[in-house]
Amino acid sequence: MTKMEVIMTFFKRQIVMRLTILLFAFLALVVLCQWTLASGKMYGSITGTVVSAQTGKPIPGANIIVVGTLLGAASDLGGKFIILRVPVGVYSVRATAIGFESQTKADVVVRAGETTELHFSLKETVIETPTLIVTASKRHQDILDSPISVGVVTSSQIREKNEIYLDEILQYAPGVNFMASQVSIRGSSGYSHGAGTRVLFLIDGVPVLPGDSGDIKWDLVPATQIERVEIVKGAGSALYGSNALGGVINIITKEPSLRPITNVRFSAGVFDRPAHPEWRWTNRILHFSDMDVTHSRTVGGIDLVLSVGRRQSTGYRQNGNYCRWNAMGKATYRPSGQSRLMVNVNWSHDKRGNSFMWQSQNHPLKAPKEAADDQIKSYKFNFSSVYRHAVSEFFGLKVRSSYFRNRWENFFHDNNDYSQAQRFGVELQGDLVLGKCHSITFGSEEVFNYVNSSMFDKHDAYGLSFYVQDEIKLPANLLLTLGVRYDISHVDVGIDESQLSPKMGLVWHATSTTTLRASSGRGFRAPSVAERFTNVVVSGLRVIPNLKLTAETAWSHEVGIHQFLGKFLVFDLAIFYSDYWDLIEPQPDASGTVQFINVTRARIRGMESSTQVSFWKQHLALSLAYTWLDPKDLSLGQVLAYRARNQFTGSFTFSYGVFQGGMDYRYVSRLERVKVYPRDERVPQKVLDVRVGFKFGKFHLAANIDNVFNYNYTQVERTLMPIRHYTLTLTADF
Amino acid sequence: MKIQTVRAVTVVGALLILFSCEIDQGLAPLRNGIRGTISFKGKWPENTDQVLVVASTDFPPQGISQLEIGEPLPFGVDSCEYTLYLPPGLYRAIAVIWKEKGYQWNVNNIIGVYFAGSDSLTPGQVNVPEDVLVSGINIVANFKRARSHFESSISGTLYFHGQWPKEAESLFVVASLVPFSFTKFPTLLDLYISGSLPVGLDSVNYEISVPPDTYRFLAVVVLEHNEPIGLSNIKGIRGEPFWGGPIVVPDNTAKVKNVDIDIYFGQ
Repeated sequence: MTKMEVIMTFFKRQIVMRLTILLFAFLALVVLCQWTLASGKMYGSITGTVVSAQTGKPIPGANIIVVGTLLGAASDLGGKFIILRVPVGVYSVRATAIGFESQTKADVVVRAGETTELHFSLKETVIETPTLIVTASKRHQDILDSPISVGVVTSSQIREKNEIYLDEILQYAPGVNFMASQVSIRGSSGYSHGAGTRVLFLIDGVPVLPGDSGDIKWDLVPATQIERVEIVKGAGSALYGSNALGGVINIITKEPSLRPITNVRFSAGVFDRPAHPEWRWTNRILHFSDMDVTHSRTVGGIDLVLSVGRRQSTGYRQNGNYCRWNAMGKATYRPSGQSRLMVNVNWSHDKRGNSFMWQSQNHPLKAPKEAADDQIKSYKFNFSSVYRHAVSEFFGLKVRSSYFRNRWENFFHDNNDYSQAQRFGVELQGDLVLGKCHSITFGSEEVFNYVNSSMFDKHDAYGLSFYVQDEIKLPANLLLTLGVRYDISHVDVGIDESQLSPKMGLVWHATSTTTLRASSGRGFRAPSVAERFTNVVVSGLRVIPNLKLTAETAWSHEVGIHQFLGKFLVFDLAIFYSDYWDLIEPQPDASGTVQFINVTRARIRGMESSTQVSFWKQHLALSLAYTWLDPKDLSLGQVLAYRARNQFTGSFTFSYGVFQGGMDYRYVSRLERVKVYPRDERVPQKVLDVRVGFKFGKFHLAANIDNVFNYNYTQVERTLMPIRHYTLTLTADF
Repeated sequence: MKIQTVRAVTVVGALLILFSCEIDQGLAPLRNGIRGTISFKGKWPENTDQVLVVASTDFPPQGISQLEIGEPLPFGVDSCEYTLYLPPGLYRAIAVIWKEKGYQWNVNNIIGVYFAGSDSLTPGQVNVPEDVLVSGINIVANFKRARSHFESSISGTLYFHGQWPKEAESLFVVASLVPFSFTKFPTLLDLYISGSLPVGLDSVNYEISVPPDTYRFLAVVVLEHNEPIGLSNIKGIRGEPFWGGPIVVPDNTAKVKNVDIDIYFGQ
């Protein structure tokens, strides 16, 4: 039987398909009704420009929305925008852009067949608080209307950090912590060596997780292609389903430029010598380099951006070398004023050494002798599309589809395993505005995974879900959010599960500068194929399957306050409390055999605060964040493994004319409990990075020193994190 | 409070936090540990993957996560010097373990144990002070003990009767390849040992990972704090020449179950 036959047979078996057809039929009916209602209306349009109040220069990428409707547009490179098919009436129109204060124009009159012109002049702010986000509610929303904490890493922060991979940048985001490449939001995740993630990973709103390991592949999108990153903190399964147990990370990629532009970025650097002479393992100079070429233009009404990049490194430790190629393309097409199609393609090829664990604490930069030549090859391909159509000013439709193919091969001294996974996904979403105070988001999502692996065997899995979220504006500046999602899943070995994930949130805009929020939500994560079916002996450890593994679940609650103190200081405080059931963890037995099992009942309480302040005519900016966790393993009555109790990040930035610079500091307290080698010495993380940049004409030159103090630490046992390294980067726009 | 004051306090606070952080270099090489000579007996098996020196703070260790593992010893030699860097502390067992190609670690594949004196039943203990390499930790490793991959085991339930000794700290079961004798004890290398079992219960299940062979007896050992293994610690026994015959494990996948033992404290 061919793969396609397997897929078709499987689909035919599913009774849930009938439910899907019903939902699609319902949506079609709604669309038809809206069309019918809309057909008798008269329309005009709104056009205009968005410029900086200080410089008069156009602001590209500003969002302009017609308040109380789903209508809106983004400004082009010349700061111009146009909103077509606006029904005749009187509206408020708001313009927002990162780094600027938002501006609303009231009583904008739209007349039949006429174009209303608007001019927005936005004042700059140094505190880069983005106003519009898209992740918390699966649609554009003011960040202060979100009842759940949302962190945003802006494009300028990404550019200043001058890192290639997102995980290196997110280490400085409040409440976000890493165990090697495994991300944890507010302590939700421990360490499972790349099997599964409790944080859902999206690219432009579309889930991108491999069907086998189910972990995040940070090398899929280079940081140079990222416009911003939105981090939703806390259980988010009521909208996103499985994996959103601890939160959601959504990468928003850069929009294509309307005029032809080519960007070239070259970066090179060297690793310093180890802090202790006896740790030196080679006399070679250890170096790394990256090169990216990006071109953007409009061709036949299609806005395109294409990018190719190559990165290589000798690694700072033995067998830590890699050579990677990345390519990505993004195209947007607007067949009409109401429709927009976005297609995103990412590809990466990676060949790297496998430095799983060090040889010993006295040789932490050397690989174990037998593993000194172990290599991994991997290929990743991701395709996603998002089609948006504004059926009317009060009803919008989104169709998201995705295909993610991931293949890797081990070339180890004791293991030549391989795995190939394919993930298909389709989602249909409707956004309905019912008057000025009421909006509903609803939809359905289907996912199909197919895995063929020597390590996990051949398996397929299927998931279907339905969700609805209702937002109601109440008197006294209150905003109530209610939502629920129902997920059903099937795995080919006869495992069927279902999950109901509700949520509730309340936002109170107490004053123009004070916003209070509260939310509760349920999250769950279905086990990945790797956790259920791994059967392998690697590095002397045996991992065996567990078909009894079930989904882990959580309830997250938080209250928070967002406070502006004048124009130059923003403060945010959140207190959170999460309960976890059946947490899946790798559990070694006395003989060293490891099995993923539902072991832990856990509770994590904590507090997160962040402050942004600017001074000296906005030339200097300071960001501080502190997260405190009380992570308890209630099954064992101990602290939860792999969770740091305290995390502090500080970022200081100065800019004067063509010069910019700054420093970033990260402190993560010592892990109180680990599972694999609990007797190993552990230390807190204390990492200081400094940066300086200089812009001249079309060029930008930047220099970075990462881990200035050459501080030696681990995030997981027996893996020394990068030692001090120096990077020089030249960027040019043509 | 004026906004300027708030800003100033924030900046000063941030700088105080930054500069109050102790600037050190984190992890550093270990300067303490043990060193000695390993003498090998017998021929190196062809299927040898690695031979390592390990140290455990507990005896018996509860799993490989409790072991401090050294670097692989050179292949095919008759003897070699070794150094194992360890965190300071008391190590209750130091051993040489053998790993077969293509298979996981098995803590029961011990081919040599460090003994402090003439007692070859209790592993020698070593206290590792800070910044000291304790020398003279010599071990004889015998490849006759290296057993190819096995999944076989002996398991059962221990039933305890009477009052547990107040100082009981460690409980485990041993399976012996040599017959019981009041005059000549087996050596530790004649025994296969279960992991540590919980003390103070009325009954507890056990499982010993053993290669296929004939085991002359099983003994239940209860140790008090830092106590050597001796006759007085054997609280229960099953097999020759007492109750029941020898326990035969026929092949390397056999699971010999229900080998239960009654333990009568105070008798």
